[in-house]
Amino acid sequence: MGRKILAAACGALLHLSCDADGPSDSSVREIVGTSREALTIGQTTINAVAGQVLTETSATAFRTAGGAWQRVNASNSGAGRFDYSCTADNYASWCSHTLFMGAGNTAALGDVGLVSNGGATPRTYGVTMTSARDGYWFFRTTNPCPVSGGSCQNSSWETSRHTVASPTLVDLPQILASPTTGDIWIVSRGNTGMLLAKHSYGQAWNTNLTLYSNPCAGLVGKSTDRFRAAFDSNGQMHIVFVNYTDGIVQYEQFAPSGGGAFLCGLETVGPVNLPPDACGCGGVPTIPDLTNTCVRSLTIPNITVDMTANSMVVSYETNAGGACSGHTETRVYRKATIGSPWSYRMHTGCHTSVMPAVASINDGTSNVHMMTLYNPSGTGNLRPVNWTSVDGGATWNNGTYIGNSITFAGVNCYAGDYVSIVQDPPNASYFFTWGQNTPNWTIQGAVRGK
Amino acid sequence: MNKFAICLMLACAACSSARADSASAPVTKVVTPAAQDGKKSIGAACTDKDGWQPPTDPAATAREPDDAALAVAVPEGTIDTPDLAPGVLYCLQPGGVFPYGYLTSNCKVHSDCPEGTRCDDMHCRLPCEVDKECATPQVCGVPAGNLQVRFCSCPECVLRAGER
Repeated sequence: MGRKILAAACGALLHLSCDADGPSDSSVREIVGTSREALTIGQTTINAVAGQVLTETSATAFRTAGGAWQRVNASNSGAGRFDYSCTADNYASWCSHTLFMGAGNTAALGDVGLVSNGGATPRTYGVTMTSARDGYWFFRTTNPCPVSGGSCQNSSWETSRHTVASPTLVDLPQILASPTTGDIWIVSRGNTGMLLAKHSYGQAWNTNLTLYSNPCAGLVGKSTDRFRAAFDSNGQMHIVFVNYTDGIVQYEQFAPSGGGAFLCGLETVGPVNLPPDACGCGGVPTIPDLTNTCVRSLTIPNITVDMTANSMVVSYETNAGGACSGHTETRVYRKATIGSPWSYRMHTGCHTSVMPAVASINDGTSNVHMMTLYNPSGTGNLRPVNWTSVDGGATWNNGTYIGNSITFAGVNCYAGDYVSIVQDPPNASYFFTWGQNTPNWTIQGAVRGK
Repeated sequence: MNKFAICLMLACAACSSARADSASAPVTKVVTPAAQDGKKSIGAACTDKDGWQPPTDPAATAREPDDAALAVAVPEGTIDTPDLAPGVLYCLQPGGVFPYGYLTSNCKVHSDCPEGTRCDDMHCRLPCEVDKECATPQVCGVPAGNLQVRFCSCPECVLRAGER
């Protein structure tokens, strides 16, 4: 649909709830990892609505205008809800909040994203899909985690609804902030494939997003989806996605400056094969090796850029071939410089390994981290695993288990679409979030380590 | 020289030229072994057992009994389907837009493809003109890629994957 906003942003009704009895459910556990890792975990949970399976998770670290750090993780635990937990005291305690989008509180559907920017007025921004899947709920705050006298306080969010495509076509919005301009970008599927939406830094709130749709001739008539992006140190956007028609994960660049331009030098990252639908999940691929055969497997590529070298790492899950047939594997590809070709560096072997999230985070030892959900031998479950690299993704260390088994007992096709990893700058560290059903479906967050 | 490097050399021995081509250019016949012996050809249904197979990576043949989450390094020179030379058949596995799989080979120009098939910039395709040429639920798609080739696929099949 070109660059025209299909409908203006409109007002939204925002309700907010906050635990009244102070910092919420939190615990501290220790997991001893490899010889060079000892993780101390200040952990939070977002309890699911009864009967609702938590799916997507997102996370951000936010520095307020006063210089204090907060960490936030989020999920959807029911239609209309955006649930998040946050800590304003370096993981010592947590607050839980719920945002309800729209009149009737049923207007938000799922797929959550969080990001924070800096500047004179730093904010945390969030995104989630509209229930019609024709656009986004887009919201922001200058203080996601107010605490006073040790008690959680209500937070205040500005919110807006943006229609950007025909109903049912928007999917999987990702939100990210430009490191050079502070602009906020949303990357998702739109009417004709890739759709980028920009909210400029300083732009008045609740005004139209600027839209960019992909005009690359090489993608016309091809089925593409699962768009994920990252900025480099120069503010260029690097985007990966699944090209179903050609059976590949593909890459292209977008130049945000000026009027914005897709640089259509499309590159193949690697081949992707979808796992079969093992249980009649509407043709949707499902995760192999699980006791519950009905958990869908969404091949969502991830990309991260090392800001010092502008090298890149992409990870994605694919149906493994050859001797590993019948399982999925997570693959890792690297681009040493922006102009160099993609190089296949690592895979996770014959264990089913899904939902990778990769991030360039220097913790003093490693500088790239990847989290996946991994199927240990002899189990029908998945466990979160952290994989690390000390050389920008060129070589990789074996993974470290960082959480309990996820059994997926009794859940439907839509459990746990993606996980999140984010940098924790004040601790020179990182934290993860993922969905887990022990004892109830929760978002486990803030696993941090060095 | 390890076996991965040898595979790379063999597969790329006939790598396509980068010359320009267009949808209206004459199609030069490329006879593949599969077409010669009457086996499956471009556009046929297929499984991961059909066509080219990746070399077995000895480091990835077992599910480790000790639950170690191994990071398996990939040898330099390892090739996969996007690296194969024109004429080497392989299967786009069942699922996504090809519910029955799609046997194909790589190409950059139409002349990289066997007679009667066309190149959509990346893969050789069996052209179609109307939906009834396609096995349900596939349809004859819109012209695809720079070379504007129509072929059978099921875009709706992957759109469903986004539903909740």
